[in-house]
Amino acid sequence: MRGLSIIIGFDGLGWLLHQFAGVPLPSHVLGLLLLTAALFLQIVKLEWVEQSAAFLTKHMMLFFVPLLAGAAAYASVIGSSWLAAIGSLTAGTLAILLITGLATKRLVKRPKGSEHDGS
Amino acid sequence: MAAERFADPMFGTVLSVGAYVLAILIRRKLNWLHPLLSAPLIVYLVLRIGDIPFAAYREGGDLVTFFLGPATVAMAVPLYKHAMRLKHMLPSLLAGALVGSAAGILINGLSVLLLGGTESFLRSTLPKSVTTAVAVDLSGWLGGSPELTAALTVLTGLVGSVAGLPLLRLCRVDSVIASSIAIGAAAHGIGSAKLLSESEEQGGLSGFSMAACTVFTPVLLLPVHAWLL
Repeated sequence: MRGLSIIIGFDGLGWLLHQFAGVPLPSHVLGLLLLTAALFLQIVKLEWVEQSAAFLTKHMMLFFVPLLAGAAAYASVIGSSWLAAIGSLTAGTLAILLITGLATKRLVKRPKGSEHDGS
Repeated sequence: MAAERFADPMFGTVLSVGAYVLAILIRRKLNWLHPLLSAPLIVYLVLRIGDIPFAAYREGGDLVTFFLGPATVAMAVPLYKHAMRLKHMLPSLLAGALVGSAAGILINGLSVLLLGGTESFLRSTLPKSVTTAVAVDLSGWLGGSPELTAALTVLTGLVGSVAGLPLLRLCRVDSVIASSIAIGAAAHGIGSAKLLSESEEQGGLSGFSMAACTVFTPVLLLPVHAWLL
């Protein structure tokens, strides 16, 4: 219960910062950034949140079901953008994959090790 | 008449959980059918067959969606764990994920500029390469439609998880590190889950990349947000 309270607390903190302090990032993302910082700074210990976080992320697919079930109603938004939708889903996704893969290949080679490199 | 009786949080909650469990069971038989496709479809069909309005389902559906918030925040934990484990090569991995985040925003935006599309579609499609929970949050923030973004993001993940490794191999990106970072950045959680089924190392690397992008993408979108609003 402690883990869940901490996580929901950080989510709430993100919401406060977004809603009342005018921080220009979405509230859950703010909560994510803050909890990440808190973990690295050892303000929150990993053991406190590990189990609850594993539960929430493991069943994340469940939390998307209502949004996805409602997506059909928004199909009309695509309308005239259908070509961009298909293009960015296919060619766009593949381009992002390639750019990232090629860049990372270069980046990993330079600094000293090739410890894990190669398949 | 019947609609009113379904307008209870219990209905939407139970239908969502039931569809999710059923979708996971279906996957054991039909491995290609991703639960993120079958579960929403089950909900949709039940509503269609029962002639139940979507608004009634949402009474409970919104309760389920609420947990997307804490689940987004909870992703800090795998990010931290992966970062601790990959300490020895963190700078180059972070740089790779940063390139992936920037490429994602750029290419998603360019697709609309080049192929034509409405501004509301642009707002919904910009964050589609980051993991779904964050993409949905960013979509609402940018003035897009979170539902549409959820669908676009899931489809992006499926395309990347199916075509990712073959394409990268074809283009001689054969190092495990580079291909895993690329799949985490371009196909987020769906791609990472696929890699995790191949090996723990690949799953961990792409999980790290996906998690790092949840930090980079929102920050990189800040100027876009200022410009769009």
